[in-house]
Amino acid sequence: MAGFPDLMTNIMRYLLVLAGLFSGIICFGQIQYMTVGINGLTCSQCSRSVELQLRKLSFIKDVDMNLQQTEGRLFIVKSNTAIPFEEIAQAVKDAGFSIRFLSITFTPETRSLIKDKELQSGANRFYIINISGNSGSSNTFQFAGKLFMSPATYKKYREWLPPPQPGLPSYWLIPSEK
Amino acid sequence: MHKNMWRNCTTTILSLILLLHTAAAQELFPLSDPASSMPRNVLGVRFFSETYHEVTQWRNMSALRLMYGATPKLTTYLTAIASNHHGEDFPVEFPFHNTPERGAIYPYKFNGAHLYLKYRFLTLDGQNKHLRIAVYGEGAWVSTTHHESEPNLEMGDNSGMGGGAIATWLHKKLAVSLTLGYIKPFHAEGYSPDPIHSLPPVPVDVRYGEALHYAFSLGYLIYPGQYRDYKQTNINLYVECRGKYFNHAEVTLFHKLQNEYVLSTLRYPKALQTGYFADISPGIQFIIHSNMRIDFSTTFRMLGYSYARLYPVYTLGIQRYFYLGKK
Repeated sequence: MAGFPDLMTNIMRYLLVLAGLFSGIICFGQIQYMTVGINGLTCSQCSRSVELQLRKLSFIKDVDMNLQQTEGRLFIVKSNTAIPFEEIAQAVKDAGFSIRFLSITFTPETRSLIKDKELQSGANRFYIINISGNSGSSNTFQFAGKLFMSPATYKKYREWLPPPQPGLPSYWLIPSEK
Repeated sequence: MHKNMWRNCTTTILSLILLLHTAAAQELFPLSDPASSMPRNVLGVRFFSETYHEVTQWRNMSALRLMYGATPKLTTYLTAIASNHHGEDFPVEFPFHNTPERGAIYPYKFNGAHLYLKYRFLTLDGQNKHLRIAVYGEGAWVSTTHHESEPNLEMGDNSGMGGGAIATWLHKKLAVSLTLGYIKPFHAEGYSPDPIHSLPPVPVDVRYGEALHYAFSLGYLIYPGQYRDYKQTNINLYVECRGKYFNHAEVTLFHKLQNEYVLSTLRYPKALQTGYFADISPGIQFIIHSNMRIDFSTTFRMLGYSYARLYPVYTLGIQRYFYLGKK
C-alpha cells in the first residue's frame, strides 16, 4: 500500500511536466479576420463572383472585397469545430481565379500568447514556421502551402515546409510579408 | 468612303490606346468569348441580337442563351435562335437568279439551337494580370435554309460543328484576346419553288463551305477611374476585328431524283463561291451593379465581303448572372 502514494506522486509529477511543456508551446488563439489575395482579377463583376463564392462557405460570416488591391477580408463565424481553410482556396478557384495569399490575423491578445511554434484556435492547430529567423511582432500570418500561395511564392517556400501532421487539421503559417 | 472609314477606325484605335494610361483592362467582349470561364455553379442568361437594314426592312436574328459554369474550367452555353432572316425553302431558281436574295419577306420564326462548350486549360494568373488559353467546341442544329456559302453557327445560319482555341492576355491596363476557329457545316436539304407554278419545286442539297475564322479583340474600362463599390456602373469600350475565310458551297439540284446533278462552281453567284472578309466592330458596354451587362456594337466592313449580312450590323447584348446555391 505504501507504493500507491508514490505512484500517484509520480503520475502527478509527469502530468505537471507535460503541462509545463505544453503550456510553453500550445496556446489558444482567436481569429480576428482573414485576408485572401486573388490573382487574375480585374473587374468588379469578377470581384463580385469571388465574393459570392466565398459567402457560400458555412464558416464565413462576412466578406469585404477590395477591388483596387484585389483582396478580400473574411470574417469567420466563431465555432469550436475545425475550419476547413482549404475551402477558401477552392472558392476562389470556383470563381475562376487563383489565390495569391491567404493570411490570418489573430486578436492582439493571441499574439502575446504565442511563445513558440504552435497555436490552437478552436479545433484548428497552426504551426508557425520562422523561416527568416525573425517572426516579427505582427499578429498576422500567411498560410504556407501549395493551396494557399501563388506558384512563384510556393516555389520559394517549398523546401521549408514540413509534411502535414496527422491528427487535428493543421496548417503551416509564416509571418506575414505584408 | 473607304478613306473615311479607315480614318475613323484609326482615330478610334488611337483614342483607345491613349485610354490605356487611365483604365483597367476588360475582357467581357460583346462579340467574342474570352478564354476565361464562368464561375462554377453560376447560371447566366444572355439575350443578344443582330440587326441590319435590307432594302425596305430590318433583318433581325435574336438569341436567348443559357450559360452554366459546370466546373471552374468548363463553361457550357445552350442558345435558342429566332429570326426573320431565313425561310424554310430556298429562293425561286436557286442558286441562279436570287442569291443572295435581298428584300424577301420571311416571317419571324424559331431557327434552331446552338450548343457551345469551352474548357480553360492554361491559367497563368498574377495580380491584375493573366494569360489564359481555352479550347471550345460548338454545334448548331437549325431547320431553316441558308442561301450563302459562308457558315455561321452562333447565329444559327446553318447546321454544323466547329471548334477552336482562345487565348486571352491581360496585363494591367491592356486586354487582348485572339480566337481561332474552324467550322464544318452540315448539308442542308430543301426545295426551291419552280417559277412555273404548275411544276413541282426543285429539291436542292447544299453543302456550305468549310470556314476558318478569327477574332482579335481589345477592351478597356473608361469608367470608373477607381472602383469604390459594386453599385458603380462600369463603362467599357471595345474594338473587335473579326474575319473569316470560307470555301465555296456545293449545290446539288434535283437532289435524290434521276436527273440529279451537281452544279459547277463556275455557275455560282459570288455568294456561293470561296470568299473572305474582315470586319471591325467598335462597341460600348455598361455593367450595372456589377452584374447586368448591356452591350452595343456596330460592325463595319474592312476587307472582302460577307454576303450573309449587310453592313452595318448592329448588335445588342443583355446578360445577367444568377449565383446558385447561396448560403
